[in-house]
Amino acid sequence: MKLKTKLVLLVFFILAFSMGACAAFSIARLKEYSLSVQVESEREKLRIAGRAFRQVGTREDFENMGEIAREAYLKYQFGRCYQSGYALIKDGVCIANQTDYEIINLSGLKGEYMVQELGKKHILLLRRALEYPDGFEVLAARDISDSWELLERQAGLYLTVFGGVSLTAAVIFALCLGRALKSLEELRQAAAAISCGELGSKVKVRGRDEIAQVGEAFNRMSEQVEEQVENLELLLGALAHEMKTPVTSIMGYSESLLSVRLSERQKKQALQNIHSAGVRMEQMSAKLLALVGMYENEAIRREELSLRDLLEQVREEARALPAARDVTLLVELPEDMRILGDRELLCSLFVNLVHNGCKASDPGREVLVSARGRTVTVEDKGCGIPEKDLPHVTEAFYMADKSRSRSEGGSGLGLALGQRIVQLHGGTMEIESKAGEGTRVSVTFP
Amino acid sequence: MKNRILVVEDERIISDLICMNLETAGYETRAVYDGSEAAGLLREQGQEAADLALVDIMLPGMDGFALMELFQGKHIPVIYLTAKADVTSKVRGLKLGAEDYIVKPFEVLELLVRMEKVLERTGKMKPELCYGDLVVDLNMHRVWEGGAEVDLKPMEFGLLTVFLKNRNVVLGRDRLLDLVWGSDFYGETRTVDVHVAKLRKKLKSAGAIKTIPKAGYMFEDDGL
Repeated sequence: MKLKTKLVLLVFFILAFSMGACAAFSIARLKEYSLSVQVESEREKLRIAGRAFRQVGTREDFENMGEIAREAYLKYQFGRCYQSGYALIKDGVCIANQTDYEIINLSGLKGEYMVQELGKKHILLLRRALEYPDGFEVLAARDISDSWELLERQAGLYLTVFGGVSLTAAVIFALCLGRALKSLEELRQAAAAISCGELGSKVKVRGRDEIAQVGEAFNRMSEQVEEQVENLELLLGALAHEMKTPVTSIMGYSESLLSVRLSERQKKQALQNIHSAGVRMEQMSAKLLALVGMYENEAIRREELSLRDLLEQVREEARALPAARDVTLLVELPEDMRILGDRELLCSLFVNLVHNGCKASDPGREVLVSARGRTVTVEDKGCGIPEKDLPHVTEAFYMADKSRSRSEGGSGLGLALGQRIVQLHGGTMEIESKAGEGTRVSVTFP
Repeated sequence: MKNRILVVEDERIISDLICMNLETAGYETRAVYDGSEAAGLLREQGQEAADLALVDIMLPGMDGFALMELFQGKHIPVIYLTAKADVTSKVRGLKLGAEDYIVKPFEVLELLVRMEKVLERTGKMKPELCYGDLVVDLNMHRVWEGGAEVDLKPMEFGLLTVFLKNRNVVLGRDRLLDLVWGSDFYGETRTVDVHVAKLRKKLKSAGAIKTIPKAGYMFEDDGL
C-alpha cells in the first residue's frame, strides 16, 4: 500500500473513532438527562395524585377497615384519584390496572424506575409506595417513544455530521499530504534519473522542513557525484589519450616486424621501441595505481620523522639526475623539525620535485631545497611554467611542455601524485612560477 | 626518383616508426619534431620541402591546424596523422584542406595506400617507377625492361605498379585483389596467383616478387 493511502486511512480511522466516542458519550448523556426529566415529571404527577389520594381517609381509617373492604375501598378511590396510565400494586401483584398494558410480572423492576421496550414502543415504568396503608404501591407506565425517537434521530444526526467531518478532514489531510509527498516523489524521480545516467539531476527545495533538508542533501550528493564522475572521465580520457602513443608504437612496430622486410638493424630498433613503449605503459599504470588506488583508504603510515633525516635521504636518492644533467643540487638542512608522515611517500614527493627542477634547468644551474618553519621549498632557476598552465599542473596527465616532458620520460602524473601525497599528510602545496625565471614549490606541513 | 615525405611528429618513437616503414616501402623521408621547425623548413625550401606531409595535430611550437596554411601556400598536400579521434577535429582538419585524416593507432599498409592515393590525386606521384633496369611509365601505361618494351595486360600492369609502390611489404592476396581489381570484384584469390605467375614469366625483374607462405607476396628490393 502506498504511504499516502496508509496515512490517510489511519487519520480517517482515528478521527472517526474519536468522534464516534464523543458522539456516543454525548448521546448517552442526553438520554440520561431526558430520562431524568421524564422521571421527575412523572414523580411530580404521582406526588400530586398521591396528595389527593390521602384525602380519602386517614391511616387510622384504613387500619380500622377489614382486609377486603379496605382493598375494595382503595380500588374505588384509586379509580377516582388516578387517571389512566397508573396501576395499583399490592405486594407485587397488580390489583387495579388503568394502564394500556397488561402487567404480568414486576420482579424485573428493581429500582425506582426503568424503561421497557415493547415492540417499537418505549415505556417508562415508575413506582411509588403509598404512605399508607402499607404494602400498596402505585405504578406509572408512560409511553416515552416520542422522546426516545427524538434521541435516536439525534444520534443519527450526530453520526452523519461526525462521519462527514471525519471524511472531510481525511480529504483535506490527503491533499496536504499530497503536497508534502510531492517533494518525495520528485526525489524519487531525480534518483531514478541519476540511476539512468542523468548525472547532476536536482530537485526543487521548498521550505525548511525535513523533506527540504533531504532534498538539499540530495542535491549536494548529486553535484558531488557528477563532479567525481566528470573527474574520473577526464582522468580516463587523459589516460586513453596517453595510451595512444605507446599502443601505436607497439602495434606499428610489431606490424612492421610481421609484414615489412626490415633490415637486421631496423628489426632490433623496432624491438627496442616496442620494449620502451611497454616500459612507458608500465610506469604509467604504476603511477596511476598509486594515484587512485593505493592510498584511497588513507592508509598511510604516520610515524614521527626528522625533517633533517628526510631531506638527507632525498639528497641521496635524487643524486643521479642532477649529476647527469650537470645541475647542482643544494640542500639547506634545517634546524631539526619533527613531522608526522610516511617516509617513503614524502621522500618520493621531494625526489620528484627535485627531478622536475632538474629537468627544467639548463646545465650549470642549481636546484635548491630548503626548509623554514614547517615549510619545505624546492626552487629552481629553470624555464618556469607559463601562467596559463600554472593552475593545471597538478591535474593528471597535464603537461605544460608536452614534447619536452615526454623526451625527459615524464608521464604527466608526478605533480598530481605529489599533490595527493601532500593532501594525505594534511598539508598544502603551493607552486609559484614565472616563465623564464624559475619555479618554487612550497610544501607546508600542519 | 622517390617521392619525398615530410613527417611532422613530436613523438620520436612514432616518427621513427613512420620513417622506417616509408623508407622500406620506397619513399624518401624527412622528420621534424616541432611545429615551428616545420614552418621554418617550409619558409626556407618552399615547395621543394616535400611532395606530401604527414602532420600530427598536437605539436609543440605550432599545432597542425596552424601549419595547414603554410603547407597550402606551398601546394604540399597534407595528411593528418593524429591521436585526436573526435569528429570535431576530423571535420576541422578536413575543412582546413587536409587530403586525409588518419587516427592513431594506424596500420602501416593502410597509411601507404592512403598516401599513394593522395599523391595520385594531387599529381605529385612520380610518373616513373624504377627497379634495376625495369622502368614503368604510369602515365603512358608502358613498361620497359633492359631498354626493350614489354607488353603487359591491364591487370598485370596494375599488379606490377602495386608491387613497385609497396616494396618490401607483405601484401595479402585479398589485399591485392582489392587494390588491383577493386573492392567490388568477386574473384578468387587464385586470380592473383595466376597474374603473378604471368608477370614472373614476362619480366625477369618479377623474380623479386617472393611468395610468402600463408601471407601473400612481397616485392623485395634490397636497393632501398
